[in-house]
Amino acid sequence: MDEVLLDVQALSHRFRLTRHVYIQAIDQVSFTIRKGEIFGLVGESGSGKSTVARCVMNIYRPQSGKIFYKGIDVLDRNAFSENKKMLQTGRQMIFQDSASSLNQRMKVADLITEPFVIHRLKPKSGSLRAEAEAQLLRVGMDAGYLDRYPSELSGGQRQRVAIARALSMEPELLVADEPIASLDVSIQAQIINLFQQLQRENGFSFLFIAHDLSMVRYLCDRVGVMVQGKLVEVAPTAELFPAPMHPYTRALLSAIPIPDPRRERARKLCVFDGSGLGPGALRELAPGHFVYREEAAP
Amino acid sequence: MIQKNPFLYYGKKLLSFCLSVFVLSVLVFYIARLAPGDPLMSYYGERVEKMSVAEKEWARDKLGLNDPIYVQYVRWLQNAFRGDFGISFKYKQNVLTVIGARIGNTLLLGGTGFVLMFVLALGLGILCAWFEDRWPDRVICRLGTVISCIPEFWLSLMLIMVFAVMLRWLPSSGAYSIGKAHDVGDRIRHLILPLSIVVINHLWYYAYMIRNKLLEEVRADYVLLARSKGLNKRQILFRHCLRGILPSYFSIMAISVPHVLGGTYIIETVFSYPGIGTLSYESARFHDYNLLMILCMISGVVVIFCNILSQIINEQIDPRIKAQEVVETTEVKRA
Amino acid sequence: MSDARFTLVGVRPATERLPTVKAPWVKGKPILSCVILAGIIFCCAFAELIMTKDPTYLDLMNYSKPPGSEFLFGTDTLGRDMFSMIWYGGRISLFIGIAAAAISTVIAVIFGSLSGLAPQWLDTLLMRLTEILLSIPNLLLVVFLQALLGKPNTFSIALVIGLTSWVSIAKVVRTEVRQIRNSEYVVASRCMGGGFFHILWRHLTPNFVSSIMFMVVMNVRSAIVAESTLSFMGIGLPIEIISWGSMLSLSEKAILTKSWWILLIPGLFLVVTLLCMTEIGNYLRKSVNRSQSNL
Repeated sequence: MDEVLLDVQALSHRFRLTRHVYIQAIDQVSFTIRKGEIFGLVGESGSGKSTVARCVMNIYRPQSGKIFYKGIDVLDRNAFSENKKMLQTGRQMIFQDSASSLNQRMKVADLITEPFVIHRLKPKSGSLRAEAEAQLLRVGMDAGYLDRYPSELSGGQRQRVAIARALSMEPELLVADEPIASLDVSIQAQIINLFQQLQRENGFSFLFIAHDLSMVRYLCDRVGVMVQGKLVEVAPTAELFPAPMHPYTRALLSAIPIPDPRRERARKLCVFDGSGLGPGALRELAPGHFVYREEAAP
Repeated sequence: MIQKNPFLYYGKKLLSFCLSVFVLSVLVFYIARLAPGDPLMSYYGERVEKMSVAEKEWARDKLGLNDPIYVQYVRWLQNAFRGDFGISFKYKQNVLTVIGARIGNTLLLGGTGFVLMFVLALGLGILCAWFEDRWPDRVICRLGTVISCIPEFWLSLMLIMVFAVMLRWLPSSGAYSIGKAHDVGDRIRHLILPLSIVVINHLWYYAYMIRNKLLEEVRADYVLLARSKGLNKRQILFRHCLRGILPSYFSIMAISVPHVLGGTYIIETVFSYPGIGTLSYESARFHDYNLLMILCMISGVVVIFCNILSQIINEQIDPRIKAQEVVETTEVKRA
Repeated sequence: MSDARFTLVGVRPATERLPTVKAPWVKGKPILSCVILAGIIFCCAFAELIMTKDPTYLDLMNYSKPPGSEFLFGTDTLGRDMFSMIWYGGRISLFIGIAAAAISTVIAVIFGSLSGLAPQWLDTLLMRLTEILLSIPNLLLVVFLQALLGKPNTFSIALVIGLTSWVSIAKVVRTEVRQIRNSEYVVASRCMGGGFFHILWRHLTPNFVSSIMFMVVMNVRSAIVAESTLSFMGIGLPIEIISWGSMLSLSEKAILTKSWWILLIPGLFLVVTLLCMTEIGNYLRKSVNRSQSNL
């Protein structure tokens, strides 16, 4: 459990809007994910969660910072191309909107086996079709869906196909960018349970991005909280939810609705005033509990 | 958020125009020189075959054909800036003189054809939109499809056959009869056939484009508003819709220039009309480099200019095109 | 509340307004064009069965004969039988059209996708380059390529036409690709390690096929026109290689002798073929917006 799989150090990225206007999407973000761990990344829309995921997956090239996967610097072009196949099969990503991350013109069987085709890998179950069927079974769908098009499936089924595609490569790191945000609540629970079951079976590490705090609390081992591109608090789930330390985390957690009318009415909302986001760094305030602290002006 | 400085904007366009012209000149120069074939042939004609090897060498040296291509290009460019584009190997005259004698003819044919075509196309387009899906519209669209399928040269041949050979109404070739170079009536008689082909061949396509633009326009909601205010059909079409499509009309005009130009070249060749079309055809066949160069540059510059013009018009109509570019620059290269 | 009018409100039955008779499936489809085109292609492909004479035989006794019972379409100025030449030559014209369109489509798809997937600066550069290429008169390019490829024959002409007519399709492909490239499934495929050709073939091509179908058909058409124009101008196929274009290259003599059939018949076949292709191409293009005019 202790071996570090993914190590992100001081990652920063910005987008250019016009010649002179930039948006700092993420700012000096550092965290690690250990082997077999589920790491949750939460934060409001636009806080930079997806950008982190895309940098980790080499979709964006960050402005600065380092990302080590199994000790390999994935941002280094030479190191990347040397370990290209391992990196591209060992890390898999699930996107938020399965309707757009699956090509509407391909059948389920072709979608699931696409990575095999790309890497010219021989599937374990013999033929590509048999492999697709086996992968579908793993996510709880039967072979009848093999010749369907994504548009003929429901949102939950589509997301399962996307999961099956990602897991077909038996990845060691699975990055899921808000995989449940576009689903109905009942389907969300299904998918979360599926994730949990699959993670127990396969033991992959999991970077789970969401803005639904209760789901994160249920699923994740450790949680990072992001706001305005900064990672403000990282702690084990069991510590973070009872004892949030950063003002933003406190405000965020106070917004979780409680499914009990009496207590829900008594719930007090904290308002985040934007404080505690000046220049600073993460400090370890309790063992394994890191909180972003402003540095006092010199 | 997007500030547009007109000087910067047009400056950029000008710069990209100049760059394009420069690249074009390099490209044409290399293409022309790399093509096999002996330019001495066009300079000395049949005599080349009788020349000894030493004589040929001397002649090549004299014409500067032995230097590496880039040296020849730089020399050409230096001279070009002084307004000296070299001598036509075939006509043994300054190329500008050769072209000057003929460009007027092409301008007359192409220019008149262009203007006529666009006035008629607008008229036909409006007519079609007015009678949408009724018989005048259907007949015009049908006729347009058929005529657009007729190759220019074949149409020219048929018209020559009918009007020049069988009926003997009009002359079949040239720009004027021998000895009547200054007779305006004679010139016009020579112009009728080529001109009608320039117009007929392109008219329908552009009329159809204008019709479709207009039909898009009359489906806009403001037309309903105008009708509810009590304006009649003619007022709406001419005052509002027409104004709406005017920018795209100009943009279409600008883009069409190369098509019309290309068509004019072919038609000139069929009618042996002494314009720059026949000239470029000859110069390409006989490897008359200097002449070819300047002819390509002329048509290239016209085409590039029109492209940029239509780009500017489009960007003025639809700022989204510009905004799109801004959005696209935010995309980040993947590792 | 006993008024019947109130009880009826809201439950008025909706009547079926759609016509009960279904339109026949042929409606709006270019059946006639397909049939004629198929007929012409069929006859050209099996020209040997139809030809009444050897199309290459120079019958010097019977030159410039008008159409009659022996020579159905007459003979040309060299004494060849026009009827046989039409079918025999049509084969070459059609072949050049299809081959040239195929060549240009392949180039266009690769170039367009490359430009569409490339970063902004490279895309701008490539597009500017095509504009410059477009501004060089086609005639010059053709003459140059001809000179490089040597004495013109069927293949070199097809190649030359293909090489000079890919730009417009490339532009459409590029626009389509630029729209698709940021869709998540392309990002996902890249993420899985899909290379350029994998993405092109599995993801992009299926998406732009429908939008370039029309242009490809139109390219076949314009390639046939280009072949005939070049042959007519004397820089295409020589007279010995029979095609509809090279048949027309005898037209100057024909005009002098007023042999109208030498001009009319190959031209007519040319125009009919092109017309059928245009009709089919127009059908392939998405049907125009059929909404009601507000005027």
